[in-house]
Formats: sequence, C-alpha cells, structure tokens
Amino acid sequence: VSAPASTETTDRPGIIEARPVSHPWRWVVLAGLAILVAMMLSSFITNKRWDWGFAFQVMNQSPVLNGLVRGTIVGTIGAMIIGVSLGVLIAIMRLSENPVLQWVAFVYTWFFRAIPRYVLLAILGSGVGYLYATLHVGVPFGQQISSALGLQSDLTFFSLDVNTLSNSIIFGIIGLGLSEAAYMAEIARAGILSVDKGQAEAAQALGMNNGRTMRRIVLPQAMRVIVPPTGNEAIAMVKDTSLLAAIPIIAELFYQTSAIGTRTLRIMPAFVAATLWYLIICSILMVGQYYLERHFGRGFGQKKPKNKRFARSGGMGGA
Amino acid sequence: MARRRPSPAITLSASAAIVALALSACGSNSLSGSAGASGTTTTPAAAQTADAKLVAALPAKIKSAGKIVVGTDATYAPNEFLDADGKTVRGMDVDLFNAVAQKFGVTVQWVPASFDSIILGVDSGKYDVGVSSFTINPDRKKQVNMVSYFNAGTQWAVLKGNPKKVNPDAACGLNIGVQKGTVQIDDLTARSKKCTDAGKKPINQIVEQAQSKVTADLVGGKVDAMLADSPVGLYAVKQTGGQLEALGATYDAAPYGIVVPKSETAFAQGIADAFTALNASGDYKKAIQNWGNDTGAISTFAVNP
Repeated sequence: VSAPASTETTDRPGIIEARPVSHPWRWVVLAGLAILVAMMLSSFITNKRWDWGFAFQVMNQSPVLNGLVRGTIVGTIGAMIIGVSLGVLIAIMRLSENPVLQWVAFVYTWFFRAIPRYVLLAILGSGVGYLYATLHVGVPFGQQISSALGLQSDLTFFSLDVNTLSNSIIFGIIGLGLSEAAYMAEIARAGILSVDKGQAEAAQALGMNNGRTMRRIVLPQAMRVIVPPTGNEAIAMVKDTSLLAAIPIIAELFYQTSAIGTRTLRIMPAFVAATLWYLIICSILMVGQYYLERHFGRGFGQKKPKNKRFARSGGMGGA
Repeated sequence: MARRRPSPAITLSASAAIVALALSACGSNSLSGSAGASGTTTTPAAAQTADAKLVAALPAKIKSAGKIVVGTDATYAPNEFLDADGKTVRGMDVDLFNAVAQKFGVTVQWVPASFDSIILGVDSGKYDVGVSSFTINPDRKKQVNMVSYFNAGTQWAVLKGNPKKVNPDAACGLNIGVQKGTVQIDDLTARSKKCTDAGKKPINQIVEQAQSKVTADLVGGKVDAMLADSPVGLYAVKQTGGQLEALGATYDAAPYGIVVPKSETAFAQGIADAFTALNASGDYKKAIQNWGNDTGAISTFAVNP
C-alpha cells in the first residue's frame, strides 16, 4: 500500500500472478462419485430386500449379542493374548544363538503359517479328539515307568477330556492363538531387528544380562515397529472368529446371525446385521490402535502439526 | 511425568469389558414377522419311565455320566434345528430320541455339529450317538451300527409354479441345490452322469454346508431346484409361506438310522427295543405326527436292517 512500486526497477520481475493449479478432473470424479453414492443410498431405501428394520432387530437378538460377546470378543482377546505372548517368545527363540531353539521356532512358524485357519480349526474340532480322546498330564512315559517299577499310580497329575473341551471356545482360542503366534513371531522378529544393535551393546556395557536387556531396552523400542501391524492382526482376528463355525462353536456372531437368516429365510438382513457388528467392533479397535501407536511412538520422528487439515485447506479450494 | 495416566492397554481392555457388559445386559428374544418354526407349540412326548432291562444295556460311560451326548446337525428343520434362543436343539428327532433316553433313565445333551463330522465324532467317542436324519446305507453300516427309526425318501422342490420348468428326469445343465454329505448327492451325481453319457451338459450341483442354506438359495434364486429328504423338503415348502412347491413324488424311500459305535451292539439293540416299546404305547406315532411326518412312520425297528 505504501508505494513499493516506486522502488521497483525495470530489471526486476513484475508482480507474480499466482493462481492455484486448477484440477478440473477432480470435479468430474467428484460428480461421478456423488451420483454413485446417491444411487446406492436410494437403493438402500427403495429396495425392500435390504429390510433394514429386520437387520437392526437381528443385531439386537440375545443369541446374537451372546455370540458377539462370548464368541467374537472373548475369542479375539483370548487368541491375541496367546498369539502375542507366544509370538514374542518364538521371535526371541528365532533370534537366539542356540541352534536348537532357532530351529524349533522356524519349524513352528513354517507349520502354522502354512495351515489355513479354517482347516486348523476343523482339525481341532473333529480330528484331535479322534486321535487323543483324553489328555493325561503327568510325568512323560509315566504309565510305562510305573508299570516297570510296579507303582500304584501311573504318574498322571490330571486328565482332560478332549472331546468335551473341543466344542468350547477354549479350543477356538487355542487354535486361533497358535496360528496367530506364527504371524506375531515374524512381526516381533522384525521389530526386534529394527532396534539398533548399539542399544543392546550399550546395555550390556552397563552390566545388564541378556534377559534384562531384552525386557528393558530392546522390546520397548521394538514396540514402535511391532504395534501397528499387531493392531492390524487384532482387527483381522475379529473377522477370523467367524471361522470358529468350523469347530463348530455356535456361540459366535456370524453363526447366530446366519441361523436367524436361514430360519426366517431373510438371508440378506442377517448378513447386514453381522456386517454392521463387525464394522462397529473394528472401528472401536481402530480408535484404540491410534492411541496405542501414539503411546509407543513417543519421541520418535516428527510430530504432526495439530491443525494440519486447516493449514492445507487453502490449496484445496482452487480450480 | 506429573501424574500417571492409565496405560493405553489397560484403558482398552477396560473399555472392551464395559462394552461386553453393556451388550450382554440387553437384547431381545423375539423377531417381528418371523415365520418361526411351525409346530412350535408341540407338547413334548409323554414322560417315559426307565426300563431296567434297557438300563442294563447302557455303556458304562453313559451310565456314570447320566447323560447321552448326541451329535446333531441343527440345520435340518423340522428334524433338528436351533430354537430362537440360538442354543436349544429342537425337532422330530429330538422329541423321539429324548423319549428313548427316558426309557434308559438318562438325559440327552444335544451338541450341534457339522453333518459330515458326526460319524467321525461317534467313532472317536466325542459323541455317544449321532441323531441327525442319517439315511441308512451300506457305506455307513460298514463304519457304525445304525438303528432304523423312520422312513424318508427324496423330495424335489422348486419355486412356486415351477418358473424354470424343472423336470427331475431332465435336469441337465441346471443348478441344483443339495446339502454336503447327503445321499442326495449320490442321486444327483448318477443323474448327472446320465446327462453327460447322453452328450448333454452335466447337472451343476450347488453343495451347501447346511440344508437351511440350500432352501435359502432356492428362495433367493441361486439354484433352480433342490433335493432333500422328504420331511425336510416338504417342511421347507410349508415354511416358506407359498414361495416354494414340491416337485413330483417322494422316491427312493430309505430308513433313517441312529448312529451307534460299532463296538456298542448291545446298546444299539437296546435303542431299537426302546423304539419298539414307544411304538407299542403310541408315543412314537404321536411324536412323529406332531411334526407332520406321519407317512414316514415304521413299525419294525432294527439294528443294521
């Protein structure tokens, strides 16, 4: 305003006529998408076969809620607890200097990564009880030893009836957990390897032993790499609980919604009910994952600017 | 850090627990406008008194447990299906075998299973017996003892008015729905072979894990026709409220059998005797009529007929 033009000389460039780059195709795509979304929404309302009212009713049925809690949620939590703890253990075995442990960990991962979960669960549900109807927990070869020594007891502490157990969620949790451990082992291994070797060396220089170095120095730093894929695994596990029908476990979300669908012959609303529940559960988990990632990512990399969205918005409205 | 915030993992699991509690607290048990299972007002067969001779035939394992563990595929209405509570197994087979168990002085624990895993489960001792509309055939008799208790045939069903003009004897190239592991698959395979032998297109079998899915496929138009055991096919026709109709007559009538392990022949004979006693008292007929299956009643109950 205060006459900068007077100082301007001819060899200087003129005022830049800055204009945002125009994006005409953005608007075309936007219009196309808007039409598609409108068509979809209108079909939700006009196509009576969606039957939303019935879908919401199915969502609120006691057997469905019971299946959601006792099958899907309990199954996911249980399987992830087994998966993560066993997975980290196997990763540590895989990275140890003991060749036997390395080899055992490798074979475990190889086996359980190669077996589809559905097949594994079907085997657990029907096959294991066929092979081993009861599981005796005691001294190895206890029966042979006691008969050789003429002992009264056969050195068995307790016995489990596999066939009774095999229809319970416990078998489902074990099956999914064993399979998950194989994937978690790979994730944890990548996480441990991502921590600079110098960290462990420094810890050892301070006199920490191997276990302590792992617990106090390496694993906390590895978590930054481990947590995001673990969140993905947890979300995948929610969906994989629908495979429990292979055992079969009937207190499970999808089994129960399907049962209602086939009983009433309104298949699609029952599928919609299951879909909505899975969407809700996974959305909650995704929020949880965001905070977990923020927690374990503390002090690493750059912080995102708080008002990033608004800072960029100036460039968006162009065209 | 001035004050400790609860760790995110604890917060997460706490909120999961709260969600779980909130969910299990509510929930309804009724569905509006649902067809439900007809015959839901069935009165259970009259209570039976235990017969000392039969009790003696019980395997030791059942006697000490006081219950018979039965494997059943609860997707086969009206013979066996899950009730609206999503847990209880109901149906004609259930009423019949509960009465049999009362003759033995024990209760029954019904365990839903997938159909093709039941015989394996009986072999392995996972189930004491299998009661799931098993048609008696030579292959099955080789593996287990089968006690006949009902006569069923195969029934075709199509959409009302047979819009696809399906003819069971000329079904080449059509999509036909059938349940996994059933005798109807052999039937369809034989028919399909006739088609290919005559230079026509084979029958396209749509094999579903559960009979209820087969019925749903037919209503939804995924398959052109379906084959099922006569009680089930006729029940589906009735249940779908005029959307389906039976096609042709029932054929290939064959007895249903209770699956008992090969080693338990005395128990199998005991079950046959219990059925004979139930037939004499009229309770057998009553239970079958309750489910609209009168035509399938038999009067001679035998092990491996």
